[in-house]
Order: sequence, then C-alpha cells, then structure tokens
Amino acid sequence: MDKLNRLTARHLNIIHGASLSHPWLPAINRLGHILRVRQPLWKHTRTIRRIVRFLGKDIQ
Amino acid sequence: MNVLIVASNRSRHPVPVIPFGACMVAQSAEKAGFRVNVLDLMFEPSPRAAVQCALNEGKPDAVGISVRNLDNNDMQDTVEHVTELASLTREIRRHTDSPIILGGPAVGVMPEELLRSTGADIAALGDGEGVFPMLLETMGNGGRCEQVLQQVPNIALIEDDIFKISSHFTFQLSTDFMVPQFQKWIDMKKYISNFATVPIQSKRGCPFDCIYCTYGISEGRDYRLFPPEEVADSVRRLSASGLRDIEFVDNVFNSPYDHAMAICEDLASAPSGARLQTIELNPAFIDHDLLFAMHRAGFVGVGVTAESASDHVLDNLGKGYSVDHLRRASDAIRSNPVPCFWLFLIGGPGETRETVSETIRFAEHAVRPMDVAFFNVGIRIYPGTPLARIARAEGVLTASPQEMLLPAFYFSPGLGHG
Repeated sequence: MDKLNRLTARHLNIIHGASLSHPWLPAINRLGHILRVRQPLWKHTRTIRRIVRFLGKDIQ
Repeated sequence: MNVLIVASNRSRHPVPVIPFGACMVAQSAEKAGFRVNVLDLMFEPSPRAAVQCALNEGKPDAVGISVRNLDNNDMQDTVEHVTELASLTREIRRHTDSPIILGGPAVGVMPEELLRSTGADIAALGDGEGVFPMLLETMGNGGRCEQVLQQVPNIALIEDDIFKISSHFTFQLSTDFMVPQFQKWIDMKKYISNFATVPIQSKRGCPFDCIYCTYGISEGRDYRLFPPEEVADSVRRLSASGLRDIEFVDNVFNSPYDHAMAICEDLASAPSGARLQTIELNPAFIDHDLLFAMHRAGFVGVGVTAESASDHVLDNLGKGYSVDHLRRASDAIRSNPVPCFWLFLIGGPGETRETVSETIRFAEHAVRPMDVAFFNVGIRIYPGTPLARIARAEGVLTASPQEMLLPAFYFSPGLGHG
C-alpha cells in the first residue's frame, strides 16, 4: 500500500479506491455539470486533482 | 393490482447510478397490466418518510426492492449496504402486509443470505423483467408459496426455515425493455445534473472464467445478444430525447468482437449525436479497427479491465489473456484519440511485490495525460466463486456464506499486510 500511495501521490493520472469515495466527489460532479464539462469527467483527473490538492484535500 | 418498486441504491460515489433494472422491471410489470409506481431513494433526504408516504398513498399489493450492490467493493474504505437494506425492509414491513420481493444483481448472488437477513418474502433471480410480472400474476391469482415455486422460475423463498428455489429458466431478451422510459419512472434531471450516464446493454451473459466474478451467476454463462441495429436505434432514440451521455454497461462490451463492431458500424453510418462510453473492454479483443470504429460511432471514453500486468497473476485470476494482449491493446489505445480508464486489481492469488511492480510499470507507461489508471486493492469474495474456494483452501476466508453478506476480501498472502 505504501508503494501504491507513493505512486498515486507522484502521478496525477493514477488513483486508487479512496478516490472513488472522496467526500468532495458529489460536489465535483455537480460543479462539472454546471460548468458544462463534457463527459467523461475522469479524463480531467489531472486538472481536478491539481485544484483539489491546492485546496488541501487531494484525491488519490 | 398495485405494485411499488423501491430502488434502494443511495450511493453517489463515484457518480449516482441510474436504476436501470428497477425501471426495466417497472416497465415490464406495467406492460403486463399492473399499476406500477417507482420510489427511487437516491436523492430522497429521508428514505423512511418517503417509503411511508409511498406505502400510504399507493397501498401496494406487492413491494419490490431493487438491490444493486451489497457494498462498495473497497477493502480500504468499506461501505456495506446490507444493514441499511434490512432496515428498509423492516420499515416497509411495519407499514404493509403485502409480500416484499427482492431483485437486482446482488440478490442473484446471495439470495438465501439476503432473504434471511432482511426478512423479505421472495427473491427474484436473474432477469427481473421476465420473472417479476410472472410472479405478480401468480400471486394475484392467489398463489401461495408452493404454487409460486412450481409456477414461477428463477425465484427463491424461505419456508419453515428451509431455503427453496424454483426451476431455472433462461429468458429470451426482449427489445421492448432494452431501454425503459427512464423519465417516466425516475427524476432524470437530477441524475444528469449529477453527471450520471444513461445505461444501455447490448447483451447479457458472460462466458469468461474470471475467478472472482459473479456475472456468470447472475446473467448466465451464454451470451444473449440484442440485434446490433436495435441497439444502435435505441442509442439514437435516447440521444434524440436529450439523453446524450450513454454508457454501455455490458459485462464486456467488445466480446463477441463482431457484435461490438456491428453496433459501432451501424452507429457510424447514421450518427446519433450521443457521447458514448464503456468501462468494460476486454484487452484480448482490442485492436486498431475496433477503436477506430468506436471513435467513429461516438465513443468519448473507454475503460480496459486490465487487472494485472503479470502473466502469473492473470493466469491465477482466470482472465484468459496475457501481458502481450495488454501491450497490443495499449499500443492500439495510444494511437487512438479516445481517453482510456485502465482498471487494475492488486492482491489477487499469487500477487507479490514483484508482480505489483510489473503492473505499476505497465500502468505508468500506458497512461497518457487524458487517461487514468485506477488501482483497486483487494478482491471482494462472493460465495460460489472459484476465489471463495481458493480463499478457504488458503485459510484467508473463514466466514460462513451468511457472514459473507458483510464484505470479505482476498488479499494475497504474498503481499503481507501492506
């Protein structure tokens, strides 16, 4: 797990199970819809993680 | 006869999932002549109040509960849904003496355990749109347990503390219910505004031998295919109705290969305007031609269930493909503009630190800036699967089938505890 955690911390395109239960996901989904982001939202994972990381609650 | 169908799933992670099966069953029951209401608990602030209100207003003669998942399949941050389901069933029972019928994918996997833990009367197994109307008709004619068991296939119940199951029957797929009228049954605007995709199936059944999977149990092992032109027409109809983000939720989209190809070619021949996705591509059947056809058909995202980049682990998981297949799939994906979601499973039988490293190296090489590699750690063990037998033989699993309603996971002893 340590290895995987280090990998997901280093690589913004790599995530694990905790990402799918991130408490902000419902809000991110809503915001994506409001901003008219095209599906699939996951293709913006790098950008979303950069923003969420800046706000202090990274999705891994 | 009044019927209430309760869609019980309330999980909004990673996105709220449209209750496809519940809508399909509602539509088939209505077509059979029953008065049907659907109560979708997804966005209900108070499920108890909503249930009470629906029961008081509708006075149903039968209540169906659709059960999607037993838990979130996540070993690290497990959320189980069975306790909530049992509580929901008790709440319904408090307000009505009408029979309570469980259905949905989770029920087909553990019918006895779910009947015992919830106190529901009957479990409908397999294709709900076939079983449910037959069951309602038999019960409407005054059929009691013995008659119901004799006359209706694919149901289970507990009588005098004995679990009984009726004969098995494989229903023909009916295009009548391939795409239910979602807007009629549920609040689609809420789903769409929460980034949900609209589900569609092009087939049921799964002939593959993945050791952990329950698709073969719940859908059967033989393919039942919808005609490609009907699938493409359904996509066009959905898109024309404003539901453009459509996801193929087949257990594997690209097998049989020719079937997937025919759907894509039909869609490309008369563009639908839909933005299509599927998260279930088997790497053994991915090539440039298929991805090109998918792109032309309107696919904007695909997922590959790679699981591992170690031949040893892939063999042990019963995947039926090799790392060579993965590499060829990766090459084809990298030369195609459609974003890809790679799925990996860490911790399967035979997994070691070295095999994890192999998989990580592959993932780092495969993902482009628009792609994602997702690692799921640990594998949910379901009764009746080869993985359950392996886990018991290795001493990893000691829980009884009843106890396996609460999540039990396989995590390779070769990895220690992390």
